[in-house]
Amino acid sequence: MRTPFRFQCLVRSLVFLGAVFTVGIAHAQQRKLPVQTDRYGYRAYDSSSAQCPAQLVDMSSAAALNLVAASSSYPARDEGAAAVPLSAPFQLFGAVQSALVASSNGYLAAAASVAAENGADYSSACPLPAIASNGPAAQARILVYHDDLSGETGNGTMRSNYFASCPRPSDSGVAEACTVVDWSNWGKPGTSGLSMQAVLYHQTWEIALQYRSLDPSAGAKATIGVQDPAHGWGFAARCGGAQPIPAPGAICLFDPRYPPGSRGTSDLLFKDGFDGPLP
Amino acid sequence: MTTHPCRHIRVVLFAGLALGSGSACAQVLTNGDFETGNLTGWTTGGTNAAAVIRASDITPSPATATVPQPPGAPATNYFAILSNGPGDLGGAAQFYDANTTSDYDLGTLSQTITLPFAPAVISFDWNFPTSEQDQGDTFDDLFDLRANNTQIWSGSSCKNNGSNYSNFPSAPCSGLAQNTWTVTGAAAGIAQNTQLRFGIGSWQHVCVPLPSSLTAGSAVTLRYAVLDQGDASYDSALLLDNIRIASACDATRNDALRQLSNTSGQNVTLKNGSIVVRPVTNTKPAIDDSGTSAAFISNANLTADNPNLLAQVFTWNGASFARATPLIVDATGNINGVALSGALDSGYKGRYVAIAAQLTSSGSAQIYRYDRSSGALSSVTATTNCDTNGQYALDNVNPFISTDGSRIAWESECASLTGAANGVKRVVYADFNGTNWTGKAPFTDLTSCVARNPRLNRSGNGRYLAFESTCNPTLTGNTAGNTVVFRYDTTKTGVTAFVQEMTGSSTALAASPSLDSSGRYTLYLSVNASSGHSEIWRYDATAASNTQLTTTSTSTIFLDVYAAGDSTRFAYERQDLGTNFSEVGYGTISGSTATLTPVGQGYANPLGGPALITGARIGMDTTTPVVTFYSDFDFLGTNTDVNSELFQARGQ
Repeated sequence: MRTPFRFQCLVRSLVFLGAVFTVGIAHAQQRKLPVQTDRYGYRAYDSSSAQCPAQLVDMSSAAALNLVAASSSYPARDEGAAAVPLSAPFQLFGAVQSALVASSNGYLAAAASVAAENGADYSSACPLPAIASNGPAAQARILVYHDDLSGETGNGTMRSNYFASCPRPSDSGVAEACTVVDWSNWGKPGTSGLSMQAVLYHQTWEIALQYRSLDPSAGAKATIGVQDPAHGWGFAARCGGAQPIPAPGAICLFDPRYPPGSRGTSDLLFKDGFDGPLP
Repeated sequence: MTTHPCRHIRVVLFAGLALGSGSACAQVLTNGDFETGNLTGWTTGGTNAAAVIRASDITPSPATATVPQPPGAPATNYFAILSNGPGDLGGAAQFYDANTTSDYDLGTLSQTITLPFAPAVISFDWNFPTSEQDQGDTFDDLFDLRANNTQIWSGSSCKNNGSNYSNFPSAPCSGLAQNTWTVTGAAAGIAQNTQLRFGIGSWQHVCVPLPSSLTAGSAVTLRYAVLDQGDASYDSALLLDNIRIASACDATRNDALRQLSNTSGQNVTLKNGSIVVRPVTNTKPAIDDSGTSAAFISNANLTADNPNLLAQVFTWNGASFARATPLIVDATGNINGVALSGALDSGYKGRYVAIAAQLTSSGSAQIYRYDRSSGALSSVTATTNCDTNGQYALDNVNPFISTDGSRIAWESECASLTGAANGVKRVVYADFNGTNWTGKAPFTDLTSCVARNPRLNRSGNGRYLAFESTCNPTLTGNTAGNTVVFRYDTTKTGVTAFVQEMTGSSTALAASPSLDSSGRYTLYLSVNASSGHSEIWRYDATAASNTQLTTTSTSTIFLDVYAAGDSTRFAYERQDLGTNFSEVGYGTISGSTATLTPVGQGYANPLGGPALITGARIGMDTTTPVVTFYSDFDFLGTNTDVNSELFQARGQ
């Protein structure tokens, strides 16, 4: 599926001989943003739309994750990860996951242990998919706010919890269970202020990425999206600061089988001759 | 350009390449040099932003700059411009190169001809000035050439940072500073006002084969295309001149030799924000039977999904790159080698890729087979940490695959596969029955002798397996435990399955075997008793005889030999002992001797020391030998950063 939006024109500034001119002369070349696509079919909305309201989940009483350092060179909150066993299955790119690994660098990887994914990929990439820079590494990922991040400066914590009835209703329109992974007081090394959470829904596979606040970088080099390089799939809803990250706010990624308002029923276009849920 | 219309019919002496050229050439293209001053004979399409112009139609910056011409062409020379600008021409979005970013403003220039002979090649001069040189990676404007809609050549914008987002290889950068040149002449028609922010650099030359499926008398539509990737602005233009059809690439270096990859180091962000430029390499090509498709190891960002520059497996189909997507090697892993099946299968020249890779440092190196057609990756081995010194990257290495892709042979140190102790290197192979792989060992001698370098004959499933070994599987021939070459018939069992082939030297040393398609002939390296230097030998299984093919030399040694399927050609690598310079090329066997034709000769690397010129592999594109190798030398002026690139030479 191709992203529904088309182009956004940018007016480019030129610096020439110390003076600043705005491009507006005849024949000057103007850049248009590329269209990002996802061959699997994830569809993204942010909290400026009705499909993705922000509703932060209170994680203050949830268990803190015990991060394991990837090496002796950096503390675990800088380069580390923790396994997050899932109480119910979650599907990422249609593949069933029974556990994830949460990284100090702002992503969730499709792995069951830190032996398979050490969380040390501090190199955000754009476009997606991109082969991870760390090892051991799991390539299928949810990039909540992927960058070189650390929880050291803000004495940050990472937490996770399973909710049989999700406090943030899914955007499919039905009640369902969710798992929430939360980063609090995180940020680029030497900074803090980034607080965010990933809400993973266990029936419609929606991914709601919610941001309470950002660190001073405001995501200038962060990538937000999903990827599975082994299949050549990837979708970057934000990267390289090209578009602002809503904070407080949310970015929601919908599995193509369960678009917004699906009411939890797979919408396979024209599968039965009708554009709507299968009987 | 107004030079003679058919420069292939001549004799050229240059850098040791083939001397005489008997290739046919015909004026089958109308107005291939564009000296009519217009597009007579050609048809435009898409945005129709194509025209014939000359230097005076371009306004350079600074104004005193000279518009480059193809070599030898006067300033009044006419050439074609195919532009994706100026600006947005309204061309529809499409995924032309199959990456994940849309391409816009398709413009085409085409001509339909009747092919007077086959096989045939097309050669031409080209240039791709682009405004995208300093722009984001995803703005990778692209171009290609298709023959009856089969892509035979392609390229994309050069990037200052070395990235290559498109699946098409990068063109050379202009080498100029950012100063916008503009196509101002009215002759440019729709392409008028095309802006080229980095000017126009040197012209390039290329000679590529037309699809071998074409026969004499075939109608062939040749279509050049240019597109704007990522958006419809920031112009690029494909400039063309001297387009010719011939029966073979001529013997000049820039016609016969082609640089397949064009990569450079890229900026990589390190922990805590520091940035380094990391070099990239493209190495160890394996080829199909025609020699025109390749699999290789590269850490370049050839398909836009490898920005962290980790070594992965890529393929080259003659015009563009693809990655073996299901196989991802992490930052701690290692790729030892690849092999490509030989046959045309499901539209792929070499459908299957055998891979020896350690996906992560904690695991064994395993053997995999990647299916380029289905995208499926199957695991041939599933061993656990065999090397007794903990070097698990050596557990299963050096694969070779049969022409049909159903059999893979490799070196293993795993007792479960070899029947010897863990850590003892042996040759094994496995057959695929459509569902499972069944591993086999030619012999299970339990001594500590070793076996290496397995090669199957390039026909069907590879009945014959040649390898070098210090073992004595024949029970009588190698009691001294020398390194000698054996040929194993996989349809037999026991001692009678083996032939010890190396008997040509009193020093009893032979290595690096390679079989022709029939399995009758085994080429190998062996030391000449008088000179003490390695030469190329051939074992004839029918005559049960060994022959030294190369002339005994006291100044050179051969380092590798690789047989083509046709029994008469081979690729070689040798080294000059005086200079330490290397040379790769192909040999042609006639009777009991071989004539050598160098295609990549050794010179000093600008960074010091001899250039790396190695890994030569040969295939036969119908009757034309095609040699692929890798080198850090700048043969054509397109590898100025002297990183390791893939090169391909077409013989006569």
